[in-house]
Amino acid sequence: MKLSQKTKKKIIVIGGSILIVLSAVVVVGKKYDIAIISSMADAITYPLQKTVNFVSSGVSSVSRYFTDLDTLITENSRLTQENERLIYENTILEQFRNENNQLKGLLEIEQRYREYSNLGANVIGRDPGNWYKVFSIDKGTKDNIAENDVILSGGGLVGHVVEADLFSSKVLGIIDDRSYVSAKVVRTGDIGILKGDIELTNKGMCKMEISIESEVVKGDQIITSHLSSVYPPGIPIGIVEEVTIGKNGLTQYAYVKPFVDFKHLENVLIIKNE
Amino acid sequence: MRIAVVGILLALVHVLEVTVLNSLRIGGVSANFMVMIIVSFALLRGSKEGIAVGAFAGFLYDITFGGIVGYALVTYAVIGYVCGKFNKNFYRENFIIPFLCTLFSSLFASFSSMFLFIMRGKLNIIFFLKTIIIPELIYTITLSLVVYQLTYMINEKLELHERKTRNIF
Repeated sequence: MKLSQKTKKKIIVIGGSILIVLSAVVVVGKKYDIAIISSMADAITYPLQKTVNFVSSGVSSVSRYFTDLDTLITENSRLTQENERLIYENTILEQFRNENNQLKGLLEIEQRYREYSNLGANVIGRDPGNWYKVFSIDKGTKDNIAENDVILSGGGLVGHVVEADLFSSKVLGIIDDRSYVSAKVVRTGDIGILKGDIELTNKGMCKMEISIESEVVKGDQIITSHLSSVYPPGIPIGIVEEVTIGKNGLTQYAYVKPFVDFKHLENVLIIKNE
Repeated sequence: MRIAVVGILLALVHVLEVTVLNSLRIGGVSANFMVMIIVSFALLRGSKEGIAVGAFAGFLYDITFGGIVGYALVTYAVIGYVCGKFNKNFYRENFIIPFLCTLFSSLFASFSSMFLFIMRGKLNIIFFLKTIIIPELIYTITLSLVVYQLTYMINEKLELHERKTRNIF
């Protein structure tokens, strides 16, 4: 096959660029859990794997029928014993559950663990500038995401959706300077405003403004309050790291370290705002 | 041809900036790659193209992450226009004008962002300068030396291509 110098050069360039693009896709896909290449490969290998599995399991089950009788008898007696033990333990646990519900009702903390309809998503982009903490996630209006839906990660509050597009949506993090959350100190029950602050953004922290009479101390847990129209009550936010008194003597500021690591945010959970 | 190539380049840089280059942050501060590209194209091609490139780059940022659509657009378009004015006394071997242009453009972009914070009552300008603006400036200028070589190369290829197509007619 004779190729002119020019076509050869073109083929090399095209091949090289395809390789680079493919490797970039794989690397980026791995980082953000987008399985493009692997799902394509899946379509080819899945039927093959299925047939091989079917044949091999059929053959082995026939031969095993004769060899396993002995072990089955001993296994059966062992399992009956274990079953009796488990039934006994289960009744005890049932008692614990009832007791727990009663105590929770007394403490009125059942709302802390209420279940919400949720949906997982991946973070696919971050604000390239140095001023704001805005993320984009890979779920949009086609997945019924709407404005003001709440975003969680690893059990902690991340922020809320400020703009929902067709395939992606924009999330305002709680450490962003423009973010305000109505929050509550779990131990004392005091309600304050949790604000993002530009001076703390790069440290991944935020600031809570709270009344001077509150006895908030270092180590207190902060959750969302029942006053907010955006955030459902009882979502954990973070831990107080330091408390200072404001200049006017009427407020104190609690510096809160969120449970969420905003630098390495990858998988998030979306909660519908009903 | 030129519009397509520069458009794709800007879109590519924006996507990289949003995803991969975020892991290149030093102390939480990232460089402003858009400013580098706008300045280099404006210096090479004049203020008209500077405005077009700047407006497109700003628009990309505004529709993806900007709070107010049009803010980055106008900021970047102004950078493109002003830097394009230096096109006439600019030699491609000269490094002082691109250096100064990047310096002032980066400062201008940062100050325009800072203006939004000042309007909301965050007046700690010394903090902004010390932790965000100056580190970003240094980072941007250092990386601009590399990025300029790239944009010069792309521009040269484009000009060569344009000369060829002109010769046909």
